[in-house]
Amino acid sequence: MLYKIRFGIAILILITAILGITGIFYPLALFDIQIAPLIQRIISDFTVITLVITIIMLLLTLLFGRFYCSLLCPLGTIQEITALFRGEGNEETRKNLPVKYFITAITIGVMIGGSALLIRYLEPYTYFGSAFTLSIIGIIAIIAIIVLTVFKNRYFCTNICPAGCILGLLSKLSLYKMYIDKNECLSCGMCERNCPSGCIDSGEQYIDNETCVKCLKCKGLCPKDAIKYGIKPKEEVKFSLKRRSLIILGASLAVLAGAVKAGIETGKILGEKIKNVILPAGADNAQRMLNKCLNCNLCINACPNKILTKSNKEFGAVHIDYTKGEKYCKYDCIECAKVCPSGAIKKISLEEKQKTRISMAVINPEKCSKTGECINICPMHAITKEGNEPAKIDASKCIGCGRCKTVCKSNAIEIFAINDQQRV
Amino acid sequence: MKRRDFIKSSLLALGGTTLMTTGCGKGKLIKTQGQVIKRRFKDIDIPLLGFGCMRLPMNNNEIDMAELDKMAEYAMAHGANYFDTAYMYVDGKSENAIGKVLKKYDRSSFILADKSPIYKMNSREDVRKIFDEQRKKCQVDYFDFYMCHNINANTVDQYKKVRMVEELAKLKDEGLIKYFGFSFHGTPEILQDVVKDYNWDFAQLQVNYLDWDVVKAHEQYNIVQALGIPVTVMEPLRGGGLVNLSEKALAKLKENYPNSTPAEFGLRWAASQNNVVTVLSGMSNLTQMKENIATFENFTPMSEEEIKVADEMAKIIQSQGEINCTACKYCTEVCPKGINIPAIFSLYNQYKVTKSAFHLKIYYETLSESERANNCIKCGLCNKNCPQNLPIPDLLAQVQKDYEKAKSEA
Repeated sequence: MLYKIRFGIAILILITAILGITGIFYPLALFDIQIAPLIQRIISDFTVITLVITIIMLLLTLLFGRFYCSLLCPLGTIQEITALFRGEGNEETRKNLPVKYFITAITIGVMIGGSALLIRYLEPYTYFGSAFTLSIIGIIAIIAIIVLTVFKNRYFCTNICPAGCILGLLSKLSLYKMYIDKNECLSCGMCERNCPSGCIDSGEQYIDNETCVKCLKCKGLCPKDAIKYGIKPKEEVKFSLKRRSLIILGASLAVLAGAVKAGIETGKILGEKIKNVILPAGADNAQRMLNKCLNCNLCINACPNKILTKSNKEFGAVHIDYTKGEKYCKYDCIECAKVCPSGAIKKISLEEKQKTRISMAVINPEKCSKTGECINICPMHAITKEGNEPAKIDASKCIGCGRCKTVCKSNAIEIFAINDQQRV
Repeated sequence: MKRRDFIKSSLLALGGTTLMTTGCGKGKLIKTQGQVIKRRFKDIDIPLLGFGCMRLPMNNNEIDMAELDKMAEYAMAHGANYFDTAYMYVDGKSENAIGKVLKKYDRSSFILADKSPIYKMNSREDVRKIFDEQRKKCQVDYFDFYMCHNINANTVDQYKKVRMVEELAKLKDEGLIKYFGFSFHGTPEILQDVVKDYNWDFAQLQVNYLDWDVVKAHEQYNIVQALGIPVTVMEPLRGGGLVNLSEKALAKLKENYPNSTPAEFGLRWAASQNNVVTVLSGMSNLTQMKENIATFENFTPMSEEEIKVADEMAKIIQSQGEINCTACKYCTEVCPKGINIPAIFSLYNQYKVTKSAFHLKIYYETLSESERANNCIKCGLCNKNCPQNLPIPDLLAQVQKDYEKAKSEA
């Protein structure tokens, strides 16, 4: 019963997430609590609220285990739905492979160092976002994960996913755990065969809480109701750090340190030379955007004017393309910043956005037909015209929204990218 | 040894070392009467003043061999035995001329530096072919100093492509090159990359008190110093630009140091940098050479006051010239494209004084691509901020035009 309720909620959340990513309806809160973007946001756009949300999420995980994976993670639910069609089948308990610690140390380390270069390609929320906005990488990743699910069930979650790895470590220490009541258990193996994470050993009557995603499937299946979800009674708790674990821990920390350093270097180099790209207000500059944007593409459909475009040959992160959609950035709109979960587009206020120069409009006096259409349309009142002179833009007022260009019939206005966003 | 003797000798040794370190200034200068001062470099002593062979004495478009012979004789007699030539100097005739005048001296008595022309290299084989050609022209078996010539934004790809470093490193291993380095006219970013290509023995940089800030010579200097690569200095007087000073700049110098000449001042400034082993001056007659050698016979590193005066002179030079820019940098604060407007104007003013398209080109190219004038979008933000009311976008367009011209001429 619990399993069905949980699964039902998870599907509802998945549907909401799909609606959000395709731009039909924005479940802001849902995207604000995604784990990897949260950590990223602490680094790229620190606010107390972000920190509080992160702490709450981590505390909840410490209380209840990695429930995120089977409730909030859209990709987790997609895997679970896929698994419905594959039937039972974890013939043997899978090993808890240490390679995931290194994957996590590298990706998270580089991210802490300052570059989202790697996490962008290994993080389930990003896969989900980019797949549902039809990015090739996202689609390939999701198909790969679905195929993986068919053969190995939630192998991605338990052995690859960096977010899952962090939550798993917390889950190991969580208050509420899944455990088998040894007095009741018949060792029938029902739970083990059906566990999507392969974390149950029915012979040993043991559940590995690190890889258990708290899907609660086993709990419903157990004929004797021997599987409990609660505070595990302290019986044979022999907490011992084995030599193997110590080595893995040490090695992961070393890898983490190295990755942080690599991340700092990458952050400095990546996008350093790129100067010809226009970004949404709050993204600062091309280098920062390239190092902070996860390419989840949530903002692309959130933009009412549809001027945002996903990562392409010209630029490896979301950016503005003034040839798309309405061809200008709406003056009284800050949707992209509102929805950005990773802080790549900083959560600036509407007032701040209206004072942020993102590019620069320049009038070619030779081409100007002097009809003055641009003058009244400019939200900044930056354009003036005297007598029969060509129109002039007061550069100090222009924020580069591109509105003037859309009304200019003589094609006299050009919008130029700038190096760094400026306050006017 | 008796205790007394021990103390005595220790004190003597101590005194000696103190004398040596204090008496010889920062970078181990070696003084001999009637000789130019020398500095220790690896396992040899080299004169702090080197003979740059780009501007040799000329007579009716031909090198004046008699004058050159006299100059070489004078230089050798005064310990200024470092000669720096290159494949294309004086239309390719410099190497021949230097080879001819140096023939009568024992090979070990002079230090010869030559350079490998990157633009000539179509393949790795060319590197050795041209090297052998240069040995023949100079009539020597080996070169003491040998460089990849003029690595900059335009040549760096070619230099990498033909793998000059690998080929020249081989020549070094064969003993045909004693010290292997490169001469550089690019941006600090390119330099960062180039220094990693080899365990360089030295780097030839353009160092003078005007370019220290204007074209970020100090950044280049710091990059190589951090790696412990000694510097040989070219353009210490910026192609004559620091000799023919403006009235105001000259007044500044004379008011502080009435006995000093612009050439002496500029050369001493460059030679006072710790990591500099030799300063190359292109001398075109015996009189110039005598003056310069005199400067380096009694060389003392610049005092802090002198360096301060040089800074002020650099500021004066920057604020004068055709474009009345004072380098206040208000424009760069607002320029949305990050164009280095004051530096561009400064080097353009120099160009207007020296009329040297060659220098305009090499100096302009030490600016990063993104700092150059062609990035200007004519938004006019700079105009609003300029206290001198300069029409900056128009001026930038003018510089860009002249640079393009200089580039096509070169």
